[in-house]
Amino acid sequence: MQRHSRLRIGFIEASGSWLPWVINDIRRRAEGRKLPEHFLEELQIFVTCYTSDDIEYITRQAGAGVLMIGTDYGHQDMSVELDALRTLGERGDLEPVVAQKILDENPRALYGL
Amino acid sequence: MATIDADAHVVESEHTWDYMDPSDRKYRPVLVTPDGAREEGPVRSILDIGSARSYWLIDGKIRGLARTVLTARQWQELAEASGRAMAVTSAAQSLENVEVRVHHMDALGIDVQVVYPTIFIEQVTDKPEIEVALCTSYNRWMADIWQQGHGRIRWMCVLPLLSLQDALDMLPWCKDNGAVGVFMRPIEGERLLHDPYFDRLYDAVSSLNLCLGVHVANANPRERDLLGQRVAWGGVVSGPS
Repeated sequence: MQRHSRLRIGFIEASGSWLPWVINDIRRRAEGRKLPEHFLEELQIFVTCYTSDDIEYITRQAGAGVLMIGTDYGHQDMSVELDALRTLGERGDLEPVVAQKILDENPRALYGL
Repeated sequence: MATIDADAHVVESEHTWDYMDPSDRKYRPVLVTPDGAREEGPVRSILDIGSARSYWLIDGKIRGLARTVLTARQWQELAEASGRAMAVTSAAQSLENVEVRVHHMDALGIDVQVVYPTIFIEQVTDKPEIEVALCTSYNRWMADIWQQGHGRIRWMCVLPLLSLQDALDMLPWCKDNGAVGVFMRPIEGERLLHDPYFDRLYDAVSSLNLCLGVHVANANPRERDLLGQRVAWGGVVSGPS
């Protein structure tokens, strides 16, 4: 990432539940170096999540500028959830600003839309 | 607020390869279906959808991710078994009819879909010249779909990463024709994504204001066969579809 500081990367269709573990592991390996609170946002790294993920917890760990959501439209595996965007938009446990980032601002930033 | 589906797919059809240059048509993939595979048994789990699979024959080998097209009844059974909305029409799934796809997006409350491939989730060939031909045709096909989608359908291009210069040459055309990024697999043949081999690609992607989409996939056939074994715990099945 240091070699390609302008590069935007999305990690797609592997849920977002691995993020807190990875963030914690990176902090441990930093060995005393101070990392930004939400360093994935600064690295322009984005991750798709499932509606079954603990989105509020992941967002607190990773920052609001990381998660996106997809439907896996057209496939038949365990990732498919055609109404995922509507489900996420209508659930009441997410702050509206977080839902807006997941549904719109974050994928717009990754894909340059 | 718009709603952007960050992970949608197209399932390629034989039409995908109609965009090949005449000189490349010798590499055209052929869809093959095993005898008896079209028997329509009930779909109670992901294990049962094998009956709806066809396979791509490329350069004399079965390559790429299998093509699965379900009947309406099979979609319904699978959706009921999984408890999730899954059913799509084959016209929308294959983007054979862009209008049908966009209407379904409207029904689902989706403004824009970013479309990833299906066949390229696994390696399609280990020969650079064939990869160039397949990627060229796929990208031209998706550019055609993008033009019909009126901004609702954006796409991730596929590049012949076995031949980096060819990949670099192909990239600006993709950008100019609606691609928003480059589809990559966590294992690209014998390379991982931090390999310096890809440095020039990453520079080009950044310069063109594109992105990388690292999708769950595996372009190393040996690793894919090892990791693709299905395991079941009490009826819950793990493994790629």
